[in-house]
Amino acid sequence: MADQTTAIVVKARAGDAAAWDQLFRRYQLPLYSYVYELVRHEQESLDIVQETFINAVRHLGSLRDDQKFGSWLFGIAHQKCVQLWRRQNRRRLFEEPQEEEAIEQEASFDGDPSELLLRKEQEEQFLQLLEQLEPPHRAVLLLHFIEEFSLEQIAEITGTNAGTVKSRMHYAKRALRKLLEKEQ
Amino acid sequence: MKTPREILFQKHRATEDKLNAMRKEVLMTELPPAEKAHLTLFNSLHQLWIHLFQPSRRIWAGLAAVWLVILAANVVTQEETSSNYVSVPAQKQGPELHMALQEQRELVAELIHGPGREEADRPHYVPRPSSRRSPETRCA
Repeated sequence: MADQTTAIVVKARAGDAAAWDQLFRRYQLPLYSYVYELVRHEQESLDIVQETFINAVRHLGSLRDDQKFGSWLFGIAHQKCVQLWRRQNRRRLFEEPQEEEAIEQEASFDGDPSELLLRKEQEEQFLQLLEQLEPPHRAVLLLHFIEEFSLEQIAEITGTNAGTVKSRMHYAKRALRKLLEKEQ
Repeated sequence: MKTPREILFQKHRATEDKLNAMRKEVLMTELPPAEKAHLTLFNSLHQLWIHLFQPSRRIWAGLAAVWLVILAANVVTQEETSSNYVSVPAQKQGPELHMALQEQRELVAELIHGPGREEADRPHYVPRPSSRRSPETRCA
């Protein structure tokens, strides 16, 4: 899959319209899902995705590694979400949470996201859980589940470091675990 | 049972039509104009070649050859004509000039009307009424 995407990115660099169409088809729904869950507004989410695609076409030359196209694209979208929050004076929502628990012993970024299965009755609660999370934790969890990005990739996308990502992921997964245990 | 990814995609699947429209709009507006113009022109020429020229290549080649011959003859003729005009010295006066001009007229006439113009210049024989059919004898 990654090799296929890389091959398509190579063609897109040459200006192949069909290649760009393939790339956008591949990422439009995951990107929109991510942006919407952060921004919570349909039209603004569509605008951000459109601006992200436009930026990708105009600035593909700045991407050094074709294999990182996906994380690069999500990074652009993430920055646009942050800019939107700044314009809306909601910057405080994306600041570091007040309490950060120590994670030296419990640091666990393991677990294949695709192996986590939720029953139908848990779906709605999962979505509610996302809504309740602070945007920094929500962003990390979304990137983990939607595109199965690695710790380092999430750090690049969100403009933070691996330690911060670990902390946020720990907090988010703990909340999710409580949800699942509650239903059992 | 579904993964969180599937749950999220299912939630936002209804927006896919709008995403598709947006994607097409971005591609239409953001691909380099030169690239699009080049592709459009190339496609048009390619279609023209396929539908117009390729089915009758020999005919088009023959027509092109005929036009080349005509063009070459025209060029040669113009060169001869201009050289004839140039060869007549401006200092020639009197009979010599008149003869040179006459020759040029004949040459131009020959080019325009083809060879055999001298016969056309000769007075044609116009049959006259027969002397046996004079008014006096006709009445008889």
